[in-house]
Amino acid sequence: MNSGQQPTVTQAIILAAGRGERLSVLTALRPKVMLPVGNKPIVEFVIEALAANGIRDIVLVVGYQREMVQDYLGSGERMGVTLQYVVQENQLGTGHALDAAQETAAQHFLVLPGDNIISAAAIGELARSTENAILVTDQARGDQHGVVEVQNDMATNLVESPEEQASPWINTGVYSLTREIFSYLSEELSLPDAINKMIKDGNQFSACKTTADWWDAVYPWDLLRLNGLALSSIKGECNGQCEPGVTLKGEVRIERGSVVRSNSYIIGPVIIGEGCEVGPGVVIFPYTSIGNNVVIEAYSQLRNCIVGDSVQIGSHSHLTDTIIGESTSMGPFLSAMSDNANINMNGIHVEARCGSLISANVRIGTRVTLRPGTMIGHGADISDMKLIQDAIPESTRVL
Amino acid sequence: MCGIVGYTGLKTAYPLLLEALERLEYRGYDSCGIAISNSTGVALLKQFGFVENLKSMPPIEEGVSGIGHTRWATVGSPTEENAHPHVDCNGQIAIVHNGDITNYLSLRENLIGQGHIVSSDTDSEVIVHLIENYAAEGQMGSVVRALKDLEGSYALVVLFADSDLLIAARMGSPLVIGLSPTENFVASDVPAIIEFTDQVLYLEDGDVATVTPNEVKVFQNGDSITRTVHHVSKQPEERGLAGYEHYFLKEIHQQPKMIRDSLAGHMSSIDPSVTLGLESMNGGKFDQIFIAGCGSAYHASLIGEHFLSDLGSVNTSARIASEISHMRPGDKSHLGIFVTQSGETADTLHAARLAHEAGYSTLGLTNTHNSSISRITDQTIYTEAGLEISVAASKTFTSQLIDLFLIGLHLFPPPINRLHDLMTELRLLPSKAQQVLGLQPQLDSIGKKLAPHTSAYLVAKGINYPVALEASLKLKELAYLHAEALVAGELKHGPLALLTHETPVIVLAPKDDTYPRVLQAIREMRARGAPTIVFTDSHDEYLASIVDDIVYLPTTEPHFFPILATIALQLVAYNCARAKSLSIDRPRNLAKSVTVF
Repeated sequence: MNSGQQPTVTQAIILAAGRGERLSVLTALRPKVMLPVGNKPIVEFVIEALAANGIRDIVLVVGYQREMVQDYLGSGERMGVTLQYVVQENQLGTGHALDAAQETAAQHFLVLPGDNIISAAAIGELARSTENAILVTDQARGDQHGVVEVQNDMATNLVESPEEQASPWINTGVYSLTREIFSYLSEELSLPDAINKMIKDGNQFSACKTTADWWDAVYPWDLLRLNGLALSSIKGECNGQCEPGVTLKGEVRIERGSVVRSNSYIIGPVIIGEGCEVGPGVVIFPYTSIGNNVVIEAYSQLRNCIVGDSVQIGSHSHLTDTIIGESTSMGPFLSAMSDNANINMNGIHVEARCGSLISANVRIGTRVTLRPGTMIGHGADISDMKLIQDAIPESTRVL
Repeated sequence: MCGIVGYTGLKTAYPLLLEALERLEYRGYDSCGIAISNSTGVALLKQFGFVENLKSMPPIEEGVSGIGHTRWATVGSPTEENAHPHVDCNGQIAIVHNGDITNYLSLRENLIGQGHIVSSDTDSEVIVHLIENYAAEGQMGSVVRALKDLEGSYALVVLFADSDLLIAARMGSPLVIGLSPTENFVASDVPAIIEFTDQVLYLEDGDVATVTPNEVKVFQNGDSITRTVHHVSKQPEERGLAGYEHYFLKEIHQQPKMIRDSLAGHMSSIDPSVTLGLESMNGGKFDQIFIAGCGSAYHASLIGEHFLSDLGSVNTSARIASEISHMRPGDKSHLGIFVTQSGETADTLHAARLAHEAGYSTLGLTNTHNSSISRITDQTIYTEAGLEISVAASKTFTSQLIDLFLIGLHLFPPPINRLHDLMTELRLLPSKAQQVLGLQPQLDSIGKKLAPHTSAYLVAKGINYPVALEASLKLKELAYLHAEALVAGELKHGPLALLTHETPVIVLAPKDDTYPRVLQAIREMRARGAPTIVFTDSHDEYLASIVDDIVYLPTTEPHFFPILATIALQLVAYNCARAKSLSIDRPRNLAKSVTVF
């Protein structure tokens, strides 16, 4: 390894085509890479981390709801990078996704998943590593990740669904590769399988061990942790308007055109997007992100929440550890409290502490109570005075 | 004849002129050309078609003063001969011109009689030969003398061989001068030169200016005068296709965000109100309103007329700007709203001037900062659409609608509960617009279905009739499909005679009070066998049973249905043009902004 040198790699390929099946309640309208944390989509953090390392030639492999990625990121000028898009029509695997970028790929490039938050430091470590390298970490992140078997700092085998954790080294899915990989991708749909084949053929892959930040959202509620991470570095600033009697503590960022009305009490880190109306008398606790054009009516309270664009929250509502998709509207006296819940994820039961996970374009009536761990699908309509304890599928009317 | 530019300074002029011309291409792209003053005299390069055709030729490498032009043909067909700049018989003087010389035929005859070789069919070329005629009176003298012979409108820049002097003159067509310590610019508009300087002065009618690298002097009737120098700010803009095949599609997809940006900061829901700051004009109280525009902006004006009329008790009418030839004297309680994307549309500027002179309050609605409309009207509202590159309007049209809705709610707020409901619906529009974009697969199949036809009709009623007009315009300009918009109730008074199984009909059938009548029209068309494609937010099973295709749009407040229907029909026109493999972003014979009458 030759750490300390300036990175020579100048191109990165970001895989941003997948929907994120386990997050389906939140990805009805947007791919996983576009889920907002700290009012920015996850993929923007990846691009910023690359730009911080001087890697500005970026190829995005897009597919599911690709227009949303393109509409938001555009040509990359705003972030000081040059973005190219290639389309993966059917999402068949990470190797298949990378193969879609074959024509635009440079001789040497990095590959990153667009739906993980990765620190610039971790990218720097990999960029200074050898041409063929895999970024690995031993910081425990649960059992949902593939691992890499490592001997003498070299990767010997990539295991996608590890039984009993065959190795402590988690595969971050971030690689340094050369064009040689493409000759293996015609046969393999999975990138780890293709790399295993390369290793078998005698190619050397170093395992680049990092202790820097790397976060993935496996389950919807993981986004709350990512949101907290994103908000922990914001600086308070009011570009909107605060009426008299508003208390702001800690780092509270209020964007253009937003109004916080009298007697609201906001404890940062909190971010409030453009064109919002908050209050009067609204209380917002730390680690809450509020999107653009959101209305939060009087005397409501939010704690550790992610609120999407154009959401309307009725008065006297209480929400904790809750995620709300765009254009959802909720009547007064909504209660969405948090506790340890046993959540059914497509037949697998997962224990987690969270509030509710509410998709986009949902309409909720007056005085509705949502039990912890409730998931409400896209376009559902819930009438007044309901107690919801089960998952509500898409476009369901609860009478 | 459309965009003009001039440069004189220390740098090589050619690349600067080329860059400015690219930004002026919205004014026309039939042909283009550049003339540079250098050791060879006047070096000239002209091309048929787009500025990029010029880029592919070997550049003029020498010379620090020059002029450029991008043309939309009015007099003389779009050929290389008719491209500007035009030069005199000896190749010592060159001009670029935007405007319309009405007496050019007699001038041309005289000049030919005097032995001048007039090589183009344009009205513009006579100007350079006139200047040549008066050459004895010196550079400034000859131009001033030649201008006296002209009738009509002009923005003009003159270049001389072996000289770093440009002479600029204006009568009726816009012209700005960009100032910098060691170089100066002349251009049709500010965006063309904003990359180079942020200090500009605007010439007025009758002004003649001498421009050298370190000095600009303005004269009016021979007297030196001072024009105010303005500081202009650059608007952030993003170019590039961002992964899309065409700008038109990219711009269609920018509409949800555009709507969100347009609304941000203007609505207050606790004491329901819309703020726009129009109180400075007559206290925001008006008893008569007209809205004027051309093309798509006129269609937006018609929708604005419906909306404002429904809200207020004030007489509101939409007018085609080019049809406004005089204005009855009024006062500040009369409001004229002038809608122009570019802020440079000649007909709309003219109408605004007439209204201003007649004593009206005037409000500009434009997408272009520092454009001419903002200097004519009392107040200007800027739409939040951002740069639109496609010649066919998409997001700028819907942004005009959103702002007209806001103007309506600001001037004529309905009772509080109703206002609250309308504002709530506006807040939900971005995501409903996003849902419409999700209908692409179905809209693609409809576009493909229309492609083989030679005629199509669009039928609607009330506030959606202008939507049909706009959609038929998109089908004409993008898909070269003869498409005609019809009012539902008028079908039986004639147009039904045209309907056969060969003429597809697109019907807008929102579930509002027009629904029963539109349903009646659909039955009439069905009886004649015309294929019907219906856009609706009604889930009426009977409707679905009597039509060939049905597109379900998200349910919204009836006044806002036009936004959703427009986006859906933009995609239909796009898909139809794409099925026919046409030049979608730059249709034949058109210019984005028409700066002549």
